[in-house]
Amino acid sequence: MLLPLIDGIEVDLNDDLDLYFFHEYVQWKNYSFNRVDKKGIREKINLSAFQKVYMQRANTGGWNFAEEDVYKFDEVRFELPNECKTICISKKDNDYETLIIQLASLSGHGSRLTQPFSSTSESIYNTNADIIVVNEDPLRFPEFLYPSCYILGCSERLHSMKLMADDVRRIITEKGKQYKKIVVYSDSKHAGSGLSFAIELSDIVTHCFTVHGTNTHDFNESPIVKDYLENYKTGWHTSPAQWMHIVKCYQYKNRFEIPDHILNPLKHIKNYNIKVDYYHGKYDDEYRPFLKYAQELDTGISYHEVDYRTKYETHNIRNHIDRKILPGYINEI
Amino acid sequence: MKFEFYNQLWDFDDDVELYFLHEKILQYTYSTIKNDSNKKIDRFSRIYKTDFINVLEQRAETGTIEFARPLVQSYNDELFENVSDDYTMCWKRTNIEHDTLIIHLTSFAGHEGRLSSPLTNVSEKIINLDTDLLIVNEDPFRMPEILYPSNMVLGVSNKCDSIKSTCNQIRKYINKEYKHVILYADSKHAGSVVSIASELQDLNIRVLTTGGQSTYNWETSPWVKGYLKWFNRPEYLKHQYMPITGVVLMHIVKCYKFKQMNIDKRITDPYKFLNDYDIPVDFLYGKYDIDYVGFKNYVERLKINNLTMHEIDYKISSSQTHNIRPYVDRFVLKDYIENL
Repeated sequence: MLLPLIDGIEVDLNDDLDLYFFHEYVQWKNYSFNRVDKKGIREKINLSAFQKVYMQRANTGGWNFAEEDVYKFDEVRFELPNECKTICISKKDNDYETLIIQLASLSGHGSRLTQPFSSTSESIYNTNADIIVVNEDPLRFPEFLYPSCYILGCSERLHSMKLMADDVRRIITEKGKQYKKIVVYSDSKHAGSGLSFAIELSDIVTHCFTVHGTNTHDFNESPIVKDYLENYKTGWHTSPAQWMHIVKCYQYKNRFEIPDHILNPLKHIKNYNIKVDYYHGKYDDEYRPFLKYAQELDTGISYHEVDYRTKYETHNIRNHIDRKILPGYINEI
Repeated sequence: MKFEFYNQLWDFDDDVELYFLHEKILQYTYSTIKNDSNKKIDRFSRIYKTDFINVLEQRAETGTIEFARPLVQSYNDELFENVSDDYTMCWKRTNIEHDTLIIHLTSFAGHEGRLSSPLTNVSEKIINLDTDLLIVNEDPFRMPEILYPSNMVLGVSNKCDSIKSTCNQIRKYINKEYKHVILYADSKHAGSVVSIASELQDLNIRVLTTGGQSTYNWETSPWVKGYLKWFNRPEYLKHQYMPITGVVLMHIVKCYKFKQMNIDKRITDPYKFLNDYDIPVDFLYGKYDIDYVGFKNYVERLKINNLTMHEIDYKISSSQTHNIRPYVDRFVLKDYIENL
């Protein structure tokens, strides 16, 4: 399938090298745009981290330099990492009745290639709950397909949501805990995957705490894909993240046999006894089509609008959610 | 400083931008290969295209070029021995007392060549000559790719990172006095072979090179000059487009970097200083090689005493006019050695 994507460049979605170079081009656009328009402190930090990892890539010929940083975990606060160094559970003295399974969402190269796999915010760690952090191995390739938002699991060994779920069950069993409440917490590009993972773990998961973002990876259903296919002839444009969403949705559809409840969990979540609270930023225009898509479906989800933004960022409301909403949510469920 | 390529400005002082520029060159090459996939091409171009795609596919799949290391750092141990620690040099096995030594600067073109060839991937025509043979290759894993391989201007490896240290390592292989020592190079090493010869002049050395990049100097390179003339064209000519190949673009970037690194002009522009040495140089250029004609004209204009120019009436195909090595290896080299 030959499609004109960013800047009218025609990309054959069945040609791996075309897709490789498309991914590089998207990164280049991202870099050249951010370099000129540095915006706020967070954006400056992201730019600096991006420059750092790409310099290292240029100087070493690959991403392997990152292994040292990304395959380590905070041994003081976490334990029981799995073999592929993607999942770990918090070490806490209290006997909590609640467990948070957090799908870590390290955005962009600057973040995912510099952070340990136990990386999570202080606010989440300090809630009255045990935490399992699930991270997707940042060194899976090719990059036009991975990270796969967990659609293809979290590592080469745990290469499906089912295998991921089995590993999480194993860790809970080894910990010897019986939780009353288990919450899957996910955000942004993992908004949909959090729901899929909850479905996969529906025998133990009771709640989903979802912060808005990409909530479907179905090529036939994604509002971004649909909008693109309807309008690309008129110079349709979007962000680098959404371009890669289009590419990945196509790959999931055409290369793999992925169950529908993984690709499009919104259509299935109501069939499970899982309470879903879905938080979306009031000013998040970029991801609004996904919100509209979810709200038009019969899902049984509770939606919560969050009146928060930073000066430059409207989508990422995680800082506010982690600090102001999540602790209370965990105490009340 | 920013320069225009592919309808965009690229900051040559920003290494991340240069990384992406290098990727853009590869992408452009790939799309050209795809667009020309139905055209009839010669055997060399066919192999080049297949290898190019194989190498880049593996890089995309693994996120690194390390997949190439086992092959690139292998060598034919029946024919060769004494590989240097940095995997850049090795010696032809022989029991015969030869009075001639060929120091061969191997010239793997592009990723497909340098990441898919063992160290000793040298024409049998060269190996079978009645000479000793030292192979000198530039480590294909030096990074960043926008700067390396450096056409040996920055040596051949991180260990031998200058012409001088490279020549010191070459000297370690030479345990006797030869009647003739020939430095044999081609194309992108057409200039650096003269720098190396200057450093090894006491070995009674002579140079045989086929035409190619005879200067890497920002001020004198014909490719750089041609590009800058276009880049600084007057407003009324702004609509003009300059087609540029990846090889030319990489040459321009490297010349810029060499200038920035303050590399000695005797290294970046060696023919200019050739009259200071007593080194005979035979420069063989293809009659139909239009792409590199500026480099040939440049050395001709320098009026060098020991330089002999030879026109070779050969081309591989109508689209491949530069590479005359197959002809020179087969029909010129043997006679050249025998008639020294």
